[in-house]
Amino acid sequence: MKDGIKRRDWLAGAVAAGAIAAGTAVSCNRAGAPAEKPRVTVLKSAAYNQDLYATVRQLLEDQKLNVKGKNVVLKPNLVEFDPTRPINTHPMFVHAAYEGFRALGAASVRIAEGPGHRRDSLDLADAAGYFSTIPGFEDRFRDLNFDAVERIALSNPHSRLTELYLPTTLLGADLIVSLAKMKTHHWAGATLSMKNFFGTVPGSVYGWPKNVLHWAGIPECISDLHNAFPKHFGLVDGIIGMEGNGPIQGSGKFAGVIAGSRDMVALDATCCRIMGIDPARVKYLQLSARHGQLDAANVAQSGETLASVRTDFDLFGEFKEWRLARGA
Amino acid sequence: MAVDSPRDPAQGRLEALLSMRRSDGSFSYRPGGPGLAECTCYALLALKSAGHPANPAIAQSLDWLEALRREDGGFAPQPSVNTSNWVTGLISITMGVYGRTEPQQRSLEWLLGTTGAESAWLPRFLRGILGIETSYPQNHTGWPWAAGATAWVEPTVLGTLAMRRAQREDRFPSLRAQIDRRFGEARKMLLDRRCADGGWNYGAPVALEIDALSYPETTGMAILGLQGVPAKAISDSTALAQRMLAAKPHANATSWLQLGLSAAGEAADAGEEEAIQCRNCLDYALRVIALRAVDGANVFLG
Repeated sequence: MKDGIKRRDWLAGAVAAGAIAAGTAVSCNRAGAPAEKPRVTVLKSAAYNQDLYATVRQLLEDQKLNVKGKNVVLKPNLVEFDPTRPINTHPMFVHAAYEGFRALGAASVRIAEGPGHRRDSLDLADAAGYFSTIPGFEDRFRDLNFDAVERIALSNPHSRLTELYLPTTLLGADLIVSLAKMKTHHWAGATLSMKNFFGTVPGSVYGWPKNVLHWAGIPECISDLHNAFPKHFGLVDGIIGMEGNGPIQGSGKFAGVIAGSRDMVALDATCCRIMGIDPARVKYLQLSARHGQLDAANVAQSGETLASVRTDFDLFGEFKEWRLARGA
Repeated sequence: MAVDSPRDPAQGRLEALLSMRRSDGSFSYRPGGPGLAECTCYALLALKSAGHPANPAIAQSLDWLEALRREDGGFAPQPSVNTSNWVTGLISITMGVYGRTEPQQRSLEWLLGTTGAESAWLPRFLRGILGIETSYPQNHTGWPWAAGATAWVEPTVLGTLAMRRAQREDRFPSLRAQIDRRFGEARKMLLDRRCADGGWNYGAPVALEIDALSYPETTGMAILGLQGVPAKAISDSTALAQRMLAAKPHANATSWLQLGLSAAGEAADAGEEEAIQCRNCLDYALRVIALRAVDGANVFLG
């Protein structure tokens, strides 16, 4: 094939592939609209303690995931370490997800991340508590910045990018689980399960940070990456999130919640509502919402009600205008 | 087996490094990983630092790197990638160190034709003619990680070191004027990108009107790239680097701080070598390179 582009049908089968991977009952009509509303599970979780393991398991059961015999890759948000700020997906949340997917019968569960500017991922993970919390972490971890890559053509991209080199660890996975941290973001407004996929782009090809994505348009690239990995599931650590000048220099914010869904657009829109952000203002959600997921009425939310978990995060700069009206 | 006699700390690092050599001559980041240009370059620079004589294994590694050259003259980070990127600066240094003139020249030509996106005509026009202000100076040209992106500290330091090596060898008279110009430009850019505390972030010193944080590895790198500027001009930077080194950071940062400080003519004591934990090919290679630099043999400057 010319130029060696492997034209995998990653995009045309996006929803279907996700359904196959997760073994779920999601089906689509000919126009691409889901036959049923995307299900988003929201559960309260008061702290990073042993109870979290059962809560994560409860969430996965509510989502009716079937990962028996599948190869699952957990992609946490591992960015930077500062003992005073909750920047990263908490290691206990990662371990709870690891245990949860193992309990569901996954053939393998690996952890993979490609931090955006830190070169020393393992040292960063060590500082962030991953080594001490997750037994055998070093053997389970793959640094996506230094992984083998394969060129993937982007079908109908929103950004000006037409292709990306992406890690084979992820391209070969049956399910990629975005283990995101609930944070505000000074460029994108909010960073949740979709934005977390920036860390899938390999530094060896695009650098530290992946500045090519910034020039190609941050919201557009978030949407393109979401499409590039159709076999996905999102889990958001919102127990202690970050408000203000996120994703690194903001302040901790207790929200006491975790959320998950196969539909990452619906998941992130729901998390925005929890944070007091109007999801309709978030450009990458606008670009990616094909089935009206930004409207709460089009999402099947289970577990907690929005009213019981809404915790307004301080918004940074121009994003103050994105505040969701009370009762919306 | 117990070893009682004192051992050259670099030797142990070198042995671990060689365990990451693949059968095709490349080096991987971790055992079992793919061969990568960056790892292979730093491994070769470590071998040179350690005084390893030329041998067929080194030649094989250099050949593997040469095969990464792409149509535009630049080099790709691994065989499956068809586009050139920032590793071209590192490969230029490596080829220069090993006296492979032809690939060194091709890499220099690529570097001379590559700038950060902020140095393209349109951003310059907007700043210069329309007077659009930026949050930090962007008048000088460095190198980006990948085509179409902004110049950042690390690729600019690597480009600077590639230019420096070419200047010293004087093998490329037809390129000399351009090399001198880009060398000077890059060093001015590095000085412009210095953070308020005297160190360097990965990119800009300010983001959204808020001071960016300095990092030890980029601070060490930038000081190395600025070798030769008057000590007074970077005294707050070297002072910060000393504090960063005293805080005992991770291996990568320790190595770059030692490389920078020793290039600036300062002591660069990192304490007991055994206490520095190496976890990947780059850690091991940079430890060898830094240990030799502290002893007076900096492979980037020699």
